[in-house]
Amino acid sequence: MPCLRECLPKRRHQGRRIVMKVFIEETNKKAAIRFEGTARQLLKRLKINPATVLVARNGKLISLEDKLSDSDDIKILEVFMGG
Amino acid sequence: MDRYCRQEKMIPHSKLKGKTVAIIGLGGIGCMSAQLLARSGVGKLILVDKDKVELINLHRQILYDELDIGKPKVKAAVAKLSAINSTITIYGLNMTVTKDSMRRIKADLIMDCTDNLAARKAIAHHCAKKKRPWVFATALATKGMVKAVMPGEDWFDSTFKGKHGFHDVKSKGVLNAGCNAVACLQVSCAMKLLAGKKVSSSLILLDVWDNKVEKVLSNP
Repeated sequence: MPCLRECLPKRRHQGRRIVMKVFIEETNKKAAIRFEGTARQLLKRLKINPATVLVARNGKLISLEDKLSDSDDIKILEVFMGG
Repeated sequence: MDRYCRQEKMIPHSKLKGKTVAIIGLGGIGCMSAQLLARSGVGKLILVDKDKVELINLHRQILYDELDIGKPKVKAAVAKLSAINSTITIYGLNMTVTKDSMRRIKADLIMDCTDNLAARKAIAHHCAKKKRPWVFATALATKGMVKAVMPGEDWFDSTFKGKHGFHDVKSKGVLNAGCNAVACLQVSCAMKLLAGKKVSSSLILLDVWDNKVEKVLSNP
């Protein structure tokens, strides 16, 4: 799994740090990172295969081409097909 | 006393007795969903599976016991469900789910309890063509997902297009409590659909190990 340790951002809004919160369901890991780009680019940075996951931003599933910003709350959901 | 009086306040039997529900896949999810629908008094159930009962199924697939090992799942399931509720009609179809074979299914609602992407695609295709609702359900390890898919909603293809190479029950296992909890949520969605009530379009995520249930809006 990728290393999720990141430098905390220096950007602030009304005195609060702006960070993207990322939760990776498969490994049950949380991270706070600075990132701007698409969901696909985020997965690439985290070394996660985009064919095996869904991405939710602020409680809503999004496409891999949707753009993310630092203030987003991201969940990377594992896809599985067991019955 | 009426057999269904304890559920009448949530769903009148008049809403169920004339309905046909197809349960596609008789594994961990399908066994529980079929049993709950049979006990609820859905008028006609169509059970679909191509497999035979194996020893490794018994920890979670609640319609089978040791004497059923080697029997076709549909045969064992029809026998068990008929003993549970003799007042409903139950058919078994021992077949592989494909776009072609799905033409044999004529139902008001389809319960997707399969274990692979190809079968789910066939169900999505069939329901889109016939303008029928279906309830997607999947389980792995301690987790699950459930979603009611309404006619005209292109949810499955748009969400899972290009997805492959993910884990399955062979690689990660499945907890009996997990897949049976998923089936309970699936049946709850089905009951509301059969009763003509509003059903959430969200994808329900469940993890019985962490006591988590959450909803994610799902129209990417």
